[in-house]
This record gives sequence, C-alpha cells and structure tokens, in this order.
Amino acid sequence: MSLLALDTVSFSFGARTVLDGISLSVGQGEVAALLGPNGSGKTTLLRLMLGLLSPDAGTVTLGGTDLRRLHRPELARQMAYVPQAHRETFAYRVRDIVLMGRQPHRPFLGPAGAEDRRIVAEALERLGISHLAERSYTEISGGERQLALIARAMAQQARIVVMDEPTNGLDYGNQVRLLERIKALAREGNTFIFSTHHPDHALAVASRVVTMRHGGIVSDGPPGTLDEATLGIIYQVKVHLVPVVEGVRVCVPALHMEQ
Amino acid sequence: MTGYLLYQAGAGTMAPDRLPILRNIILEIRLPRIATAILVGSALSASGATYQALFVNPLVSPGLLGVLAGASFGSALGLVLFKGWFAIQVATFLGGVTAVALALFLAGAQRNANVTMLLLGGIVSGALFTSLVSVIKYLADPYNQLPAITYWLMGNLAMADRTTAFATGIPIGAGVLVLMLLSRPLNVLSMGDDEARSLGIDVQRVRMTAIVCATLVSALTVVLAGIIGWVGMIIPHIARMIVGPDNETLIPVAALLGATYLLMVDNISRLLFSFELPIGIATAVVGIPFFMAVLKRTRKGWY
Repeated sequence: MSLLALDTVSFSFGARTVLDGISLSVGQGEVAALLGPNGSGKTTLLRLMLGLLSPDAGTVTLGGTDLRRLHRPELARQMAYVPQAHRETFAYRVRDIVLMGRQPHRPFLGPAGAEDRRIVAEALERLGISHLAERSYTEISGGERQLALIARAMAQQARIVVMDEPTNGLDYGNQVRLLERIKALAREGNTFIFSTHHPDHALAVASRVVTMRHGGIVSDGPPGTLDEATLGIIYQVKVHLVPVVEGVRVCVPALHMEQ
Repeated sequence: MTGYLLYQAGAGTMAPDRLPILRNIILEIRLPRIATAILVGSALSASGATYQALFVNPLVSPGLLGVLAGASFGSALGLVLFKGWFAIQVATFLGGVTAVALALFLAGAQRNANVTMLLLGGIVSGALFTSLVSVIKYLADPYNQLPAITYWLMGNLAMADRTTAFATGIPIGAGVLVLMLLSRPLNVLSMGDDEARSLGIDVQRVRMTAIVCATLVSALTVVLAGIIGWVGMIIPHIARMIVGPDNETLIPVAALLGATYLLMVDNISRLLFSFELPIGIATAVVGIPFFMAVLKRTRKGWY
C-alpha cells in the first residue's frame, strides 16, 4: 500500500531541468535509500516529497491526498524532515530542540504539557541521548546533533521520516551508530527515505534502493537487485559488489583490486 | 497619609500654594518621562530580540530593515517642514514604516523572500534613508533647524508628554505582546526555513507578522524619543546570556531588562552632569562597558 507517491513529477530551476518525469512510491514500513551522483536531483526530490517545493508537472500525494492541499501542521504530523546536521542556530538545549518536534501537535498558546514532555523524554531515550538533554545543541558533536534531529523527528510522531544525507560529515563510528539507530527504528515500523553517497549504507539498512542520474530514475528495487552495472552507470566509475557472507554484499571500487 | 508622605519628602516646609507646582512636575513631567523610558526600552529590546531570532544572528538590531533610518528621515523632514509637534510625530512614524515597506518590496517579500534578500533590502533601504537625512541636514537652516535635527537624532526623553505616552503606549504594548506570543514559532524559525516548514510553521506568515509588529513598535520609539542606539542590540544579547536563547523567556526578559536599563540610564544622564547628556549617547557610553563585563563572565552561549 503506497503511502507517499510521486506521479510523473518534473521540476526545473529556471531553464535547468532538475527532475524529469519521476514516478516513485514508498509504502508504510519501507526504508528507501536514494543513490546518485552530485547534482542528480536527490535533494530536490526529497524537498518535493516534503512539500518544500511544488512540482512543475505531475503530483506528489500522501495517503492519496495532493500535498498542495494539506496544511503545514497537518503535513508535519505525517512527515518529518531530518536535515544535514548544522549548527547555525542559537545555543538551545537538546531537550528544547527535540521539543520543537511537538510544535505541529501543540496549541498556539500555552506551555508544553506533561504528554509532550513524556514524548520528548522517550524520543531522547530511543536515540540513546538522554544524557545530552540539558546540553547545548551548539556544543555537542556532529554525530550527536544528527541523533538529536532524529529524536526530534521521533517526537514529531510522523509516519515518514525524510533524511538528507544523514551520515554526511560524521566519523566512521558515528556513521555506523547512526545506521544502527535507523535500522532499529525501522524495525519498530517507521518509514524512512534517505539520500546517501555510500552504496554500502544503502545496502546495510535499506529495504529498497533507488538510483538516480541526470534527474531521472535508473533503477528501483530491493538491495539484492542492485548490480555493478547500475552503480557504474550512475557514478561513472568501475565498482565491484563483493559478497561477504550469504546475503551480505559490500561495494568495493575496482581501484582496490589494482596491483 | 499623603500629607505625612509629603511632609517626609520635605513638602511640609513648602508653602501650600506651591503644591500644584509639585503635582505638575510629577504628573506632567516625571511620570510621562518614566513611562516613555519604559515603553522605548522594552519596545527596542523586544524587537531587537525578535530580529535576532528571525535572522539567526545575535548581532542584528531593530534598525536592520531600515525602520530607524526611515523614521530619522521622517523626523528631519518634519522638523524642516512643519511647526506642530504632532505633524512631526506623524512624519516620523510614516518615515519608519515607509523604509521597511521599501526594504520588503526590494526583497520581493510579496512572494517568498528569504533571509538574505530581506537583509539586502534592509541595507539598501537603510542606506537610502540615511543619505536622505544628510540631504535634509545639508539643506536645513543651519541656525535653528540643523541643531534641532541633530539634537533630536541623538535621542531625547525630555520631549516626553502625557498625551503621546498614552497614545503610543497602547500600540507599543500590543505590538510587544504579539512578539511574545510569536516566540515559540520564532524558536522553530531560527532552525532555518525548511526545517520550520517541515515542523508545521507557516514561515511567511510568522515572519511578516513579526516584522510588522517590530517595525510598528520601533517606529513609535522614534516618535517618543528620537534615535536611541545600542539598547535594541545589546539588551537582547545580555538577556540571552542570562536566561538562554529560548524566545519564550528571552523576549519578555529582554523587554523588562530594556525598560529597566533605559530608566536607569535616563537617571544617570540627567543627574551625572550639570547638563543633560542626550540619552542616545548615554546608552552607548554606559552600555558598552556593561556589555563587556557581561561578555567576560559568560564565555559560552555566544550563539
């Protein structure tokens, strides 16, 4: 059953066509990874899914309703956005950042209720960052900030979480820890859509891999169907998909095999 | 009871026919001046805090979109063209509103302006009205009008009168109240437009409401007391160092702190020397060391 669907969506910035006739649908509980080189239109596609941009042609629907017909708070209760970790804001406490996820659920006036505080505490707990609650968002590390933003998405209680290159700028350990969290949260039934520059990250957590090039979709299917030829087409480099154990493959550039 | 208090205050030794003069001094001069200081201090600080949140920058002041430059131009033009104080006040207010309207137009705000475009629009509008003030100063009669313009633009609480304080008190109070009500959306907005939208905020509406209210109250401060610098930038900053960046507490605290600060500085500027130091100068002279002291105590939380 499709939750979020794009139907022949096109989008251009001025004369430059960024997306050309994209059709894609994501179902409840799926973890969809978006792979593609720089400038292939991944971020624009995510922004269209979030209703931050409107398509020039085609429609984006959430549960059958056109996004343009949904009000912001209503959309925010269904879909959360985890941007690339940034620190260009004031020194809010991590708890306050996560509490912002309650914004679409709260009335215009009044302090946060006991229910809001409970949901925030639970979100911090699920991401394993309860100890950071009183720390300032600008003081914690990039990996911790990314976890705080995911906790905010959890507090938002949205059915779909859209993430733009969540592992970008994180050290190796934090990348792995972040993927572990995503995998665990997906098992609880959350739907994730994320873009990444690492085929391995897609292979590790995704139930579905979508590859893009020049504003179009090249392939779309379970991670098992991703092949070397497709990766070669989108990135224009030679790579090997090497089986490690049964059902587990890693992506290795041909460069590693050169003597 | 009142008689006792007056006696204690030294009024007992005063001839009874001088009591009306005392009454006059308190009700017509001192109280309006106190009310004006409170209104101006809280309005500048609340709108400064709002702009700092809107532009995610702790260094911006309420004059960012040109409101103070525009109101200065309105005042200068009024002082040259009109005799009546009321007409000058109206010109001041309209000048401030016009400058911000121009900034918004230049930024393309009727569609969907981002922060950078607004900033550029504000810089252009502010520069235009600042140069227009110079044009008027250059053309003004150098014996009467020019000193009047210069003195007024240094900031001045001595012109405070009961009628103006009453008439502007209500819109300033209402404007500051709306800014306080917008504090939670402003928090979310300071995470960036895309994030705010995906958290359910109508970015354009919140931003425009905040700008309209901040402009209204800032323009009215110029109507009341000319240009008083530094308060709108420094007080929100100090408030943030004390209570943190959450606008739900920051904006009310900044308003209170600004009111207290301007009242205190007004007393200093009246009493420190045998002449009255213009308040706009005093706020900077007192404010900068104060600011540096607070800055030294709080190393973290700059942003």
